[in-house]
Amino acid sequence: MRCGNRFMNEMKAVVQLSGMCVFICLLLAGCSQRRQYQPETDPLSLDDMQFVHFLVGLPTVTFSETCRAITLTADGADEFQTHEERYEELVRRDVVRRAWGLGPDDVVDRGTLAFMSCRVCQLPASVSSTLLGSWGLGDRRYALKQAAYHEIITYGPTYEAVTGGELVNVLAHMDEHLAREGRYDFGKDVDSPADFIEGN
Amino acid sequence: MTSVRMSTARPISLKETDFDCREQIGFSAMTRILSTVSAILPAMLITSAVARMQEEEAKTYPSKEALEAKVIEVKGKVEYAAPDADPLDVDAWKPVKEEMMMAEEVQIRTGLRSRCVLMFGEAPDQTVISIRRASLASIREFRRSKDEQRVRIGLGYGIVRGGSSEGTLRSDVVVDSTVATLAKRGTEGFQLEVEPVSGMFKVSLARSGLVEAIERSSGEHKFVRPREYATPRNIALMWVNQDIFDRTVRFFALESLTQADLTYLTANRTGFGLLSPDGHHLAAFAGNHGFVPTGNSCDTGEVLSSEPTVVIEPDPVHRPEGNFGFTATYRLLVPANRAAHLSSRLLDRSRRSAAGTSPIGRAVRSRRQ
Repeated sequence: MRCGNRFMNEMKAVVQLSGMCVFICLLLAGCSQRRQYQPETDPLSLDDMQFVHFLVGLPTVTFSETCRAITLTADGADEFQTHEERYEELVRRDVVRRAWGLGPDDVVDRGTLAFMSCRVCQLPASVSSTLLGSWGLGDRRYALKQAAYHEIITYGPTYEAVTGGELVNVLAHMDEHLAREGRYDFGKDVDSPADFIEGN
Repeated sequence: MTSVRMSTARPISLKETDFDCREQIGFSAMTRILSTVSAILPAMLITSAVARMQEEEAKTYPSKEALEAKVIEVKGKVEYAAPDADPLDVDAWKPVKEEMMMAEEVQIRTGLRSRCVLMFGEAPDQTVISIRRASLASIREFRRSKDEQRVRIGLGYGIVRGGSSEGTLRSDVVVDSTVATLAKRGTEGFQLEVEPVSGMFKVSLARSGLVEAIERSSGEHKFVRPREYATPRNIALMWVNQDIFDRTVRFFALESLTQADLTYLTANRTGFGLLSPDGHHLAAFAGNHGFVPTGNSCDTGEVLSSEPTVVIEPDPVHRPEGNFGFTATYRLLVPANRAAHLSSRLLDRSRRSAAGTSPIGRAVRSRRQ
């Protein structure tokens, strides 16, 4: 009788352990999801202007597409030929981190995009972000809060995949922020006939 | 018998000889034709006159004349194409340059660090539209009639902002997208921002005027005033989150106040007050803890003529909570040394009104009855 109970307890432990393993595997798989959808047009064949408007139609964006879009926003033009070159430059600027382990075809989530936008826009870091995020713990989660506070990205789950439309919207907000901060000259805003006359 | 004939006039006539019957039918048809012609003829004459007038008017002011917008500023990379152009077709998109004229239905797209400013019309009836970075927009309509200049901008995604000045023509500007519509109501600094695919949008007003934000899926709308914005969320929640619940306005009836209450309320004023419709007498003053009606409005007939009131600002002060049936609010000054005098006068009157000897008391009593 005692032997039977022991066997049952062991079986329960095995089932629980295997369940946890499956759950962890699912989580890991979810963290680095490759995009299934393949667009008809090769983004590498498009110039910068076309590339931005091409992004609008994508249901999800890959890491390579995001890197190119972020480079385009930060520098005003994309001078790099390959994803590897771009990636190395972004790592050097601490816009992306190697620790994330993202491949060029992996889908980008909201937290990752928020982190990249925070670094490009040089948003002031919070205490938690400085203490914990600097060595990687919750870096993208804190970045999402920062970016949402500065109205660069819409707040949502950190792990949610970003659509092409959302990416373009974030790029526009980043671009506006950079212009407001004087990182490049965008000229005076014209939103009335009087502005135009004054401008002359 | 006569009455029977009278009541069955038509059947009797039909029972007469065929000749009589035909004659009667012929006569009635003739009458009908004449009456129809007499009704139609003046209408035809009037219609032709109106048509002639419209024709003359159309010669002077072409009805809904299609016009072209002028590109007055281009920054960065801006391209235009025909309405049905493929976004990824390189040949279909051509660069926009300053001083170009843009006709209706033309698509315009901008890149990052880019914008395009279009001017619609000529001074003083001008509308300026700025297509901001990473946007796709089109000129849906730009027409002018004798009294109106109509501008319709289609926004696929991105940001469009603008403003207009009105001279002799009424300016009707609408920025339309698949998710929201911005309708201008005499405004400068309006903006519609649409996020691609997700349908998130934001309608904002920067400087002056009024715009109307309309959510297309639900038909809900919201007016946007300067330095406000509307999103799908706050349009949907506007009836739930009523702003009027943000503050409480308390009123005190004179009869319910003691001398101490009145002294306190008259000594602790906000500087606001309500003037009577004639603008000469204080109808109520706003204490820090509530309004105290002075009861000298027109319906009671009693006036505190010796009340030392100075109107500091000639224009009414906007109070978000409203005026609650009183007249507009003004910024008033009642000297501090007169506060005790004012409170004692008000108290005397409240006592008299409670006793029914004052016009207020009589008015209150008659209302209760």
